[in-house]
Amino acid sequence: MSDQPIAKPLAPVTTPRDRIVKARGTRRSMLDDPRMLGWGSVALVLIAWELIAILTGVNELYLPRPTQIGIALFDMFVNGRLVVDLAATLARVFGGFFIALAVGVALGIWIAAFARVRAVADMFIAALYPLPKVTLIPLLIIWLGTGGPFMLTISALGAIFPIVINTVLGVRQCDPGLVLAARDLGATQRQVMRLVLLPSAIPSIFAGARLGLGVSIILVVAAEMVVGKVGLGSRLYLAGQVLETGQVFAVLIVLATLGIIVTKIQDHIDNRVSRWRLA
Amino acid sequence: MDAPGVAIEFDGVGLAYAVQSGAPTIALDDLRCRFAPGKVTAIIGPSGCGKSTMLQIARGFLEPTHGHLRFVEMSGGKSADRPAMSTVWQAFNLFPWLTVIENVEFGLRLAGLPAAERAARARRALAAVDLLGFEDKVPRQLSGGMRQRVGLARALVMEPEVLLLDEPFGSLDAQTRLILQEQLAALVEKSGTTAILVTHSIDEALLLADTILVMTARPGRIAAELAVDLPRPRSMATTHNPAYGVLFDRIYGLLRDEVMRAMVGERAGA
Repeated sequence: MSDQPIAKPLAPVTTPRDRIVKARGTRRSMLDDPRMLGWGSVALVLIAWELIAILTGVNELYLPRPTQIGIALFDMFVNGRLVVDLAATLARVFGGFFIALAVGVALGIWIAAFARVRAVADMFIAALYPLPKVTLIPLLIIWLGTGGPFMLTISALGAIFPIVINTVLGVRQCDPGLVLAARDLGATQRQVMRLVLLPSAIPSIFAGARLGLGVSIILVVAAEMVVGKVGLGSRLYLAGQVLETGQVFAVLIVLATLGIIVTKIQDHIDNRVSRWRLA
Repeated sequence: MDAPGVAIEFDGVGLAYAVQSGAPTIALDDLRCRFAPGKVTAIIGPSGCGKSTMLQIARGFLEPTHGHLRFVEMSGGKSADRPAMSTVWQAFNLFPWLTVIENVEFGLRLAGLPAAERAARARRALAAVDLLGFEDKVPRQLSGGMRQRVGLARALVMEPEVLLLDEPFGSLDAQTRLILQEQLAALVEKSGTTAILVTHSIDEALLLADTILVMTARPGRIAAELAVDLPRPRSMATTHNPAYGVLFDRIYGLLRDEVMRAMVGERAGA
């Protein structure tokens, strides 16, 4: 068709360079960039918050200004206490989490591999999994006191259920053909577990670990609020008790930042693990 | 027939599954046959006749509920241990998280061989199936035909006394299948290994086997045992041999009822 080449130039032809030149100096450019939009809106809210607080003269006991929160946060870091609290909380969360990961994966494989173990474990998991783990805090304090063992236990307890359940799921979804192939090549039952069931369950195990770590963080901070002398939870609770609202906000910011970092790291690990999956 | 090695004998082997209510389902009934060393025996029959189950019994993964499995020394007729066996699977069953060479080395690793020897043997097996240069790929990066060649290398690297082929080309397209059948025929002829081939392809059985066992539909029984005395090496050209046609017709005749039923089912599905 002879008119086809004519139709083409009618479509707007824009190269990236054109767009930059055209957009320069217009308001549209900022609104097109999602990063700019995200950070810009946060900045806008903070500025609005600061201005409204100044204009209405609201008591900083109820709502401190962002600048006051920033100063409180800086002060808490500089005099060292917050770093100690953060380190204590992280040690408790990850200490318990890694215990749960090791025990939970081993337990999950064992449960998945043996029908009898599964029959027993199903009852206990059904009873304990839906139980809100915070309700165990009083009992654990009676048994373990309020020190390190208590904190590690509550953290591990939070993480272990999603890890066990997902490990069982992952192992059960393993292609039975792979188990047969391994046995054919001379694998013992133990080797089948370690070299076939475990690797084929890895994507599922990571999904469980992801959920478990979230629960660990919640439980450790909650436990710290109840009994801790150091840790982000206890710092938060104490700041609230003495009406240091700026410090309360500062701890919340640290917790939120921690959440962002943990999520990003998990996203990164998930990306790597997903390559493990079958195409 | 004084070839050294161990024959596998099915002596009245049967397998019955217990079901929730009523009489047990009989999968295999009174099988009497011998798999001779150095020979390729094909088991051919309609789907669900228990062909693959026979392999599982020979491999020792399933215990027969009736009869006995015997291993007999060819020279002297004494009973022997179960010979070393390796299986090639219809679904390949490659470990998706391992590379090609790691898959091939898997059995050697379990046997505790040193790394250098493992690598050398795996490379030799990969060369035999024409896959050198693909050592570090993972299975999902390979075509179906290449995956099954990895499966074949993984079995051959164990240097089994008996190679079990469980519909090895069942999930490949027709062209790939033809080429791999020829390659496997050449490989088996060269190595002189004992092989049991489960298939539903008459051509595949005639191309590869010295003996063909034709099975009935469930419960699986042996309908006939045929000797295939076509000259070797065999290839696609063998199909023009008049003896090939005679054997093909004979087997087809035995399988006809099942084949017809399958065709009717296909036509209804189309």
